[in-house]
Amino acid sequence: MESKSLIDGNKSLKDVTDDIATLVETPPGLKWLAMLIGAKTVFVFYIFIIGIITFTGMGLMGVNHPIGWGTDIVTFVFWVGIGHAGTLISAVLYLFRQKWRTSIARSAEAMTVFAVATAGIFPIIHTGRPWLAYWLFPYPNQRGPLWVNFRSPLVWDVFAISTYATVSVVFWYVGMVPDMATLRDRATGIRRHIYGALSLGWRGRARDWSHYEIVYLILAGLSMPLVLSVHSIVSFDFAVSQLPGWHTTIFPPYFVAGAIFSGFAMVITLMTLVRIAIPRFKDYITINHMELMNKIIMTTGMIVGYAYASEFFIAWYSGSVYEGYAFVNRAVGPYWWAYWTMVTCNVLVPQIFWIKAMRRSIPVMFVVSIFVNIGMWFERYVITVTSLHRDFLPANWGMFKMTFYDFGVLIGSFGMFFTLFLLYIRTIPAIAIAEMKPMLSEINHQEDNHG
Amino acid sequence: MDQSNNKSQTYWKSLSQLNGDADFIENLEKEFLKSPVSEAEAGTNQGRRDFFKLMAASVALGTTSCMRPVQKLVPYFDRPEEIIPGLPNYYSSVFVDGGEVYATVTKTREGRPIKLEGNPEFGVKSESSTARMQAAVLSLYDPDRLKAPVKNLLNSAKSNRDTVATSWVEIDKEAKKALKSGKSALLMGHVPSPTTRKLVSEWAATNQVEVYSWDQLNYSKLKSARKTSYGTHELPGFDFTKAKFVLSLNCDFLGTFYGALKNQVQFAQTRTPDQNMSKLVQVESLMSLTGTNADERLQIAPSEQVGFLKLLMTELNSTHGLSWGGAVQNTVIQNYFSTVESVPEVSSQKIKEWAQSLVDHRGESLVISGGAASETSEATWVYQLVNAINSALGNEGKTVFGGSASVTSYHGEDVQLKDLIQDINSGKVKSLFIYDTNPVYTAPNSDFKKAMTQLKTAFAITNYHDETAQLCNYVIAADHSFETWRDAQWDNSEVAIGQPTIRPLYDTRSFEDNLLKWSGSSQTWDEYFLKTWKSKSSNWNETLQKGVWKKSALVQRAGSFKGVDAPKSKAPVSELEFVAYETVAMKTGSMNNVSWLQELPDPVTKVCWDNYFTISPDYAKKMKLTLGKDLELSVNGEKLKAPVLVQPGQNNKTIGLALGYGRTSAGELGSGVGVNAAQFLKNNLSSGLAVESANIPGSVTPLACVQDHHSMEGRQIVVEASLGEITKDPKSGQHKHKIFSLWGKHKYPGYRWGMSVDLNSCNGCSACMVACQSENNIPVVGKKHVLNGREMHWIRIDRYYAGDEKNPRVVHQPVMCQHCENAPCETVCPVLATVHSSEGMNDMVYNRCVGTRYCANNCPYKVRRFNWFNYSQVKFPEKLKLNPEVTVRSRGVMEKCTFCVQKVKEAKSKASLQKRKLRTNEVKTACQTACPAQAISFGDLNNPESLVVQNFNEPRTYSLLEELNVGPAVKYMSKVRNISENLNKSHHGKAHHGDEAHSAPAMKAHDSKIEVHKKESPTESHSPDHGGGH
Repeated sequence: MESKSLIDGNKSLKDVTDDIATLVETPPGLKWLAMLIGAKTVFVFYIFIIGIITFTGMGLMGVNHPIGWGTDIVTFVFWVGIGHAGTLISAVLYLFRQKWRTSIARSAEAMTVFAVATAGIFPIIHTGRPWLAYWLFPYPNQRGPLWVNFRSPLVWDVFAISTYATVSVVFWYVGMVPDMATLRDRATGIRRHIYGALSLGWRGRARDWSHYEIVYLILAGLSMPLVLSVHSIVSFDFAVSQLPGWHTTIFPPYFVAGAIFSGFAMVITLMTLVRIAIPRFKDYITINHMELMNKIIMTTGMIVGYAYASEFFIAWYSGSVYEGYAFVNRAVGPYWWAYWTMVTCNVLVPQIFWIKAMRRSIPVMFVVSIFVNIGMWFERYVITVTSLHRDFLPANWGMFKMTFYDFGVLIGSFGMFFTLFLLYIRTIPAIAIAEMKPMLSEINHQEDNHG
Repeated sequence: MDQSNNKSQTYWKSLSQLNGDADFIENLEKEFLKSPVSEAEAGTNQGRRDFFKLMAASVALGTTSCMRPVQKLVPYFDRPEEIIPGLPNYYSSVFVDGGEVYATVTKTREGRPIKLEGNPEFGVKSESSTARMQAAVLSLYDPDRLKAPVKNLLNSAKSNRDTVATSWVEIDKEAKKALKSGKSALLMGHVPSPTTRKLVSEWAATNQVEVYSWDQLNYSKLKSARKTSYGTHELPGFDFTKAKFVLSLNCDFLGTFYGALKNQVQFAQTRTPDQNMSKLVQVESLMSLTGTNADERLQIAPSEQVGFLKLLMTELNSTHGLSWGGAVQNTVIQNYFSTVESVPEVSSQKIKEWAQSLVDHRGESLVISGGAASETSEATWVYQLVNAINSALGNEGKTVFGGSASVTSYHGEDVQLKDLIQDINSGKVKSLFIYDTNPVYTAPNSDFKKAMTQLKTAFAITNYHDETAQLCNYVIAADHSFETWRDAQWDNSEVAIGQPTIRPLYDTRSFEDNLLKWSGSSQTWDEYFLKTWKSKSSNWNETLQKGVWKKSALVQRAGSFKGVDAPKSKAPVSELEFVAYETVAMKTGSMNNVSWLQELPDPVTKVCWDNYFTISPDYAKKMKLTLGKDLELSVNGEKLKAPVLVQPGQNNKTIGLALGYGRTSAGELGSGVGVNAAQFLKNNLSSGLAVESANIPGSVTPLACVQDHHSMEGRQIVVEASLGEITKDPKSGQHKHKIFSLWGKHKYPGYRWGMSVDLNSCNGCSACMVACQSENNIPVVGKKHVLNGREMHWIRIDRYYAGDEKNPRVVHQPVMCQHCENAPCETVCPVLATVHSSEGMNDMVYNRCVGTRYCANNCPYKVRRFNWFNYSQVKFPEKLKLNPEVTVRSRGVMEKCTFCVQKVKEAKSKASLQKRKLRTNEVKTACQTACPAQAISFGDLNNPESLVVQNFNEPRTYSLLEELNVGPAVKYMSKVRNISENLNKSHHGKAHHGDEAHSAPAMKAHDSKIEVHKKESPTESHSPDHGGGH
């Protein structure tokens, strides 16, 4: 890593603080406002769509018999997957002392939190009676007490997602505390009070730092298993069932790899946008960062590709008629287009990153990341819809068609995500100031040595 | 506008009406416009159903939203003596469907009829029913039924549709006036009620009324063929129990032919797979329900019927020496045969085999023909030849009867409508009363409509403001048959008697009350009916209780064959022949407004909510037609456009279209569904009409087909074997899997419920589906949602084709919740809304259900149904139909077959009051009771005497998707075909079987207690080519 610069522009400590904090302290520009209004409009539209579906019935969406899960679950898994990169970057790379994570960690974590929040809505709205969805929580009640069914993967899901959301938020927030103090110190008026409260009385003393480091390390340690567990458990929603195409032992690692894959792609998408919107951040989120992430995308893309191949092999090797048919049907059945879109986007397109120039080209990586996002959405579509649409008894076979409301929730969820992300950009330092500074000294130190 | 000259009317609303003011008339028309929705979408009919959906949605939006609807219960202030709230009362009643007579036991709750079952005292002594009979109870609560008498404000061209309310006083006045004129007539349907017929003849005699009887389906040709052959104009009765070999020529005797219910019951009794198993050969043009049950099948065009008979009779004559009632007759037949071409499709081998079988079974075989698909212009001749064969084989008097054993319920005759039209045109009839028939719809080409304009006054006595009623001056709202005394006679042996089960819901009057009133009698129909019956029956109370009055034992004697007459016309041969046929659900379209029937998938095509041109796969390929593409046919100069359905097994030269659709005023639900095939028919011929042109307009009408895929994909779903194979190896065709489990089995100390379904008996008639719907308050969702796969039937019948597309074997498989022991749905439900009961049932807890639908996804049988919208929100009067024992499911809740748990509970509480255990086979599910073939058995698996255990012990029994080890409590018994070919060659041979499983002793009913699986090696033997996949 040392050979490549992780902070450009020969920054001083003050420069770092100014560069990052100014964004939060100055009034927003027109560009940001325009983006926020756009995202917010979609978000409001999303709320309406959800309202209509809740008041009228799930029948408005394309789900039917036999395809009981459709866009809601597909998009849920998609967003949960997106969230994965955040934890990976902030916790795992932290524990492995990968310094390059610093400049993207905050935003990746923010992305995680928002992605999980976005995802969390889907399991609720996809139920027939969302107003009773709280029954999925094992809370003390007077119905016997009537407990949840601990054998159901959906209950595991509830725990996995809520744990993940909680830990991600706490981890994100704890990492933010020194920066909040910095903002507090620079702010006046009401902002000073808000950031003051958020900084939890941070004084920058050695004791503060010592506690902070330990808490951060512990939280990182706690989050690390989550990287593996969350998507493993989400994959159990499928793997524990007996449906051909779902009932697969490869699902947990396959889902985790896919999640990291899609998460990194989303980070690339967001970071290229951030670099365009806030040019001075280019010094902190350098092309080297992007290249490293692209390498991860390529690696996990190949893991995912391997999983696709392996599924086919097992389908054939198992000798099960149903399993065999399910996979042949994926590739050449009525949903072949979804399958091949998935393969193209997830396996073929990232191969372009073998070429260094492509890995380091912002336009190329932006396009690739969009492809990967699309491909990963289709992966879940393929798993959910094509497995359900033709299962054991051919008399039950059916087709799934997305309705206006399906597209509504899909697009609307992006509105929610981007609204949150845009608000975050202007209220919270998008790069961890406190973590950048030690890096600066390291870099300066190296330069001194060389110089 | 004829009210301008109608100043003598009793009531007028204003001077402007009295004076015929133009503005007023315009307003009047507006006032009585139909609902804005149906007006806006006139012709599509989608409007009304969508409107209701939207309305349900908006009601949900505005009021109840997230809450279940709150309902208030009000106790009786004065409790009727016989009603105990919470307990059902049963009454015998009668349902007449055209000429079909059903004696029913009607279950009423708090004074509301809610479920019908067959009266086991009547007919074939079976509780079973048909889909239409089950649906009859819903027709009582049809919101579109006439609620009061109506006067049509007809203009001189009778083209307007404005109506005003009228009073019984006016009706009576007008009717009496019409009768006084002396030139009145009564046109009625079959009306097989002896007491009504008695009253009609008395009334007709006193008032000098000419009576005509006609309905679309009246088997006139069959009757007249019988007249020629045996001297009596009558409909033959059949006894399928004695028929070992049945050759059916275009006769759908299991589906739509007369006496179908009786035929189904009897036919099923002969299908036990042993050496006495009957054999059915179906020679037909389309694919009928009977055809799907045939052991062997041959497709011929309608014009080839005689050609086929020529081959068969020549063989019978030359090889077996059969003759046809004397030398003269033989010559007539021979001479005619010389002009007929043989059918090219038939292999002489098959003819030889069938002739041999007929001769081998002299006196216990049956050749049968009749019904819509056989009614070509030479149908009478065909029927006569069939009579000749039956007589020569000695079947007459053994399996087919005339005389006192003939069927007497079809009173209508084709000629009577013709006579009536003639009499109207000649001025002999000036005023007409119409009851129980709808010729404007069913005979659109008969000039009846034109003749009606010549009438001075016309009265329709009807339940609906239907096509014919619209052209009458007065529409007299009649009681539903469950609201009045009713009797009906199928043959000469007995009369079904029905008492009213509910007070008339609306301001209606029975047909008979009208007649009594108009003849100035002070008697009511109740009094008349009871007086008549009490004089006939010595023990009236008992008769009424049984619902059947035994008249005399049938004398089944053979008619002496008199021969055939020389054929008058030859069926025209054309490149493409049109066949109008009937469907099990719609028949002639009289119950089109009953949603259960509209949404009942056709047993053969699995399409509901529409009729369509059925075409052969070859024709489809030639014309590049696929499901739902529109086709425009021209027959008899009439053009009709409808979507096509490619029907495997249909003759290449035919195009079929179902009768009973395309009604214009059936009610909001049934109007505008499909097209009226009768528009193609002239002289009531429904088969073999030349197709003049066939155009493909390029448009598409989506067809609501509940099954998109029709092949079993080589999977072990319906196990099928030939009789020979099953005799050698009763497990033939079954591929057993070695199954083990890490877990112990559930314990069922008390009862354990299970069900067996004999696929060999099941003929696909679909009565179970409607019975289930009736018992379990299952909603109907409409075409749009069926298209989206959202039909709600708890029991469905999967229909698969196997073998050659041109002449496939067809199998029917009823699939309901399998109540698995290791139910995949139970483990995945996060909120424990579906749980295993201590009696082996898979219970569904509706109010706990959150609606994740995971259970449905994980169900390998996909039997779970989801309430996508608030389907259950029904209003008066439909809500009166709801069974109070079964929860009405709200939006967002999963539902499925419960094994009629409410019936189990009811029986158990009855038993516990009597301090006893349930008797063997005491509980019967709705589907089981309805099944004419007794294919479904339900009972306690812990009781070795129960029928279901006996069936489970049969080697023919297997579990559907056994290898998943979900342990279904429903087991299927394999389908057996009485053919000489082997069906399972391809499955056996190299496939490596779990041989231990194969030779293992038959599954014991108590297998929950026997740890048979413990010692088996923990490897699952999924042989790579099991089921012949890949």
